[in-house]
Amino acid sequence: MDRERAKELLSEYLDGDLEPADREALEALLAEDPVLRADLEALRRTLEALGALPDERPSDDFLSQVKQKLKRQRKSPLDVSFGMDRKIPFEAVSMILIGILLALYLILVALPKDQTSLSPEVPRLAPKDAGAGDGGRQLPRSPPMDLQD
Amino acid sequence: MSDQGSTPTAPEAESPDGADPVSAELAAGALSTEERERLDERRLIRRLKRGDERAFATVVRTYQGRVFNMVFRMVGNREEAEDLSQDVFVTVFQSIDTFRGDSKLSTWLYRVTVNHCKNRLKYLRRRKKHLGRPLDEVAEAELARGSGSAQTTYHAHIPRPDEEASGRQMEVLLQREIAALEEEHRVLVVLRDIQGLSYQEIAEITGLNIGTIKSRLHRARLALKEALERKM
Repeated sequence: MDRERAKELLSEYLDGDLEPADREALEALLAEDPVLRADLEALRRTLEALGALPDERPSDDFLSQVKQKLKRQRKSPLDVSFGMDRKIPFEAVSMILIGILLALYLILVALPKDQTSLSPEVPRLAPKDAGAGDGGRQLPRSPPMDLQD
Repeated sequence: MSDQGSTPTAPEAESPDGADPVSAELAAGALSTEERERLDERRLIRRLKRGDERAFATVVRTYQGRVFNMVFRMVGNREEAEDLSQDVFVTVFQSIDTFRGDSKLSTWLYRVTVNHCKNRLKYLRRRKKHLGRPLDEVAEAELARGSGSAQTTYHAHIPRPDEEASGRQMEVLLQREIAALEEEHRVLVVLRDIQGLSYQEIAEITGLNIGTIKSRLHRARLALKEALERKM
């Protein structure tokens, strides 16, 4: 094992992750190379320093902050709430609406022109007070409208 | 630094008659601690998938320390870390249906955390907001600790004042050098050397193979070692 290869293995050696043969070869080299030993010690100190970093903790009201954030996201105007924890994304709602509008448009286009009018033809009725200035003469009544087929 | 093993969780399965399989297994006989933990976790995941808010609170309380510590070491800023950690748990709750149970919940949670960190760092880089802030935050954390804040716990013994001063100096220095690492190296240092995860777990979290993890981690450690040697 050459020195460069040995340097590459220092990290794994400190992790205790080296194959027995590599470990023995490295230890033999370490025994006779003070520079390599110094490298190993410096690396060991670095790992110890990393491991000794204090555990940072979140604020005491972390859970309630998360819950609030979750609630805010549920109430987002871009999302339609569906049940307690289910959401229909805004994009899906938009697609559904576009689909409905498109379907309506196609239906209207496909219908024959004379059926596209939504209001049935209503026969003109005489004004209620048509005979008011006619000496009270009653006009003959129109027959009742039959709107059924 | 503890080395946690990785035991993949079996996909959860409901019995056809609706009976709780976990209770059945518990009733069937004594289980090892590991098996019991795995079953507890499966039960917790089922409750989460049903939208049980108490289960969600349990998950937050259990993992908030680990998630926050990891995020803080990644972004180096308490305010960002708090916001980002909250986002992690919101994502967990909203995406729990996509969790298949092939890995441990903690592994999946770390994966969500890593993704959030990467996205936030990218965003911060674009906004150029992070420049100069991590150090401010460490200094702020130090001040808070000096005034008796309960936000930080120590692994080590109660230090003498001179030890404490050099410990803080080392922390500031380390945090600065961690922040200077390339993002993909920083993730590995945080997961392995600060969070104490196994290579197998890191591979599951990052999707990298173990050989790549080892070589990148070695380069990251060397960079930190050289930086510390220059500055100490």
